[in-house]
Amino acid sequence: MDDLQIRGYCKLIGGKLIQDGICLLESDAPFAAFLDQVVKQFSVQHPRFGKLDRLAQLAYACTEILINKLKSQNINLTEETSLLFMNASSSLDTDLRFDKSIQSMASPSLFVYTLPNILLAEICIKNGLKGENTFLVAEKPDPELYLLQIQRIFRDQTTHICIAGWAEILDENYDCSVFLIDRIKAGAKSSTPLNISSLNKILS
Amino acid sequence: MKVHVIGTGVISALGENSAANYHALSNGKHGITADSSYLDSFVSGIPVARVMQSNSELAEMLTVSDRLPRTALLGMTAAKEAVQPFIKEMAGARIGYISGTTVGGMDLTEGFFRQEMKGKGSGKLSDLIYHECGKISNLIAKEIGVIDFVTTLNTACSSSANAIMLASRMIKSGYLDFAIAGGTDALTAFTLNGFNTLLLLDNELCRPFDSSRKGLNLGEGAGYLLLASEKMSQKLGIDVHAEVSGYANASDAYHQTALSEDGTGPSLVLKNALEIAGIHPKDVGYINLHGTATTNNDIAEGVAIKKVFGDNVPAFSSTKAYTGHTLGASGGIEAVFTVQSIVNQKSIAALRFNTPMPETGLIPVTESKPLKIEHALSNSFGFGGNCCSLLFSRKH
Repeated sequence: MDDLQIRGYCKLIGGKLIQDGICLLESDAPFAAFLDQVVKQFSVQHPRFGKLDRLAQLAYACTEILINKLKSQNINLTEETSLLFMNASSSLDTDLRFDKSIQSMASPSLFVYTLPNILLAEICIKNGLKGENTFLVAEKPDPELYLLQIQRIFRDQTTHICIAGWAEILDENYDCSVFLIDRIKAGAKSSTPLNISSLNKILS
Repeated sequence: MKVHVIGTGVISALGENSAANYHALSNGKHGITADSSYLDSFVSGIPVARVMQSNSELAEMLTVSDRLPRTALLGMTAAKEAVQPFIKEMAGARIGYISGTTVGGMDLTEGFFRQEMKGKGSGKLSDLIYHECGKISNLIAKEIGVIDFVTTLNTACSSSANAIMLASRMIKSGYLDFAIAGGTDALTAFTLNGFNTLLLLDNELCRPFDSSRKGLNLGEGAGYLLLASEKMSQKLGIDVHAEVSGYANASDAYHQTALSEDGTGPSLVLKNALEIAGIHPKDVGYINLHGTATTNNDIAEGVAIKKVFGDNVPAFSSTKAYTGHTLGASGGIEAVFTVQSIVNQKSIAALRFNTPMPETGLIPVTESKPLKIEHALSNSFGFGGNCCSLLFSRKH
């Protein structure tokens, strides 16, 4: 098993945008207005961002900000990038909205987001990623589960990079963390090796 | 190692075995004759292609419990038909059962919730144990006596085409000697509601590739091919229906429930399936379309066909005008029909076609007539942009 390292993370939680431990934005605004501010200030690009559901918007924006930051450090995604996301409420936020829409006219555009793993496709399509995709539902972010799953993903030698994250939203409660993992080059030393304590720092 | 088709099994609204289905196809007789109201969904009065037999009738034919999910009962009927003639010959060989399904045991789950909503605790929990798609495969594999390798694929409407592709690859690389590959799906309120929400259902009979098409009709059934390695079919001196000569899978990477207007995924799989087989587009005699009759599918598929075949488009038709869209079973059922068209050297007539789509001008074959078919393609495209095309070749 190769040694793995975390190359940076981005968090959107409770009106804060935190990147690698530094808070870059703080706001009292409700989710929609806060995300709007994030998207504008950090130039998150998507041809139809407004059509995504709130869960996909949250995960997509957080991932784009991380990817752009890493690009500036010359860490670029390859086709063989794998994705691993988890949350607690699955797509319940959109399921409830869809359920409401059934009373009048069931909304096709909401219906297609009544699965949490759609957010993986949004990230893949935008970035041309063709690696393995995993979405798991767990009660809370569990560093041991992340470690196990990431190690499993990298056992496949075609995976060079993994983007992992926790993307949770239900009404006004949201919590998103996205981080990038790759292999430590032979002989090199990493400041943030992948282990329970480094995962704990990001996910707590 | 070549992969041979040595048997078929199918049950659909057209009938309970391969011969009955082909008889209906050759006579232009469709099976979209039921009314969706019996499914207790949000929409009633929509035409659906229902398998004639009730669960208890299927169970009696099979001599199994009628408390099993309908998806399993349909699958057992078709899989048994495919396997039965060769049970003895296959003894001792490595046999796989690879099946696609999208609803699994949903019919029983729906029954549970209907009951449970009347009062907490009034639903039977045992109705939920077959909910998962893989449970259906386990039930069927046990019934037909396959224990070497069992797996389930769910890639929506391309599930069973992908099952045939996986089975062929496993035989080709020497992992299996025989495989029963295809899929099964029963009609449920769940799928009817879903497709209704997506505004994809036609409340009249569907009209694939016609400019007036408005959507699809749902159907149910199961279809399986019995595949054998060339080595096995030669050793046993078995009659070979056709060869699986090519297959390809690609993602359209465009939308959750729609294909790209330029048919990226469909044209990739058509091209790649031909390339794997080393066959020139002009040598294809017939295409069994995905042809759901939704506005979006038929344009994307038509554009892809024009891209790959240029001015030499082979005869093509959609058998969904006969069986309805059987979702996870459609790739398996249509693979059987494609093989039958090769064996009989006859086209299958498109139904209810009047005016070509202005976007492509493509005209399907509207007669069941003698046709030289050396190679035939079967298309299956699923939600999520999961596209699959299978190429079958005549065995001389």
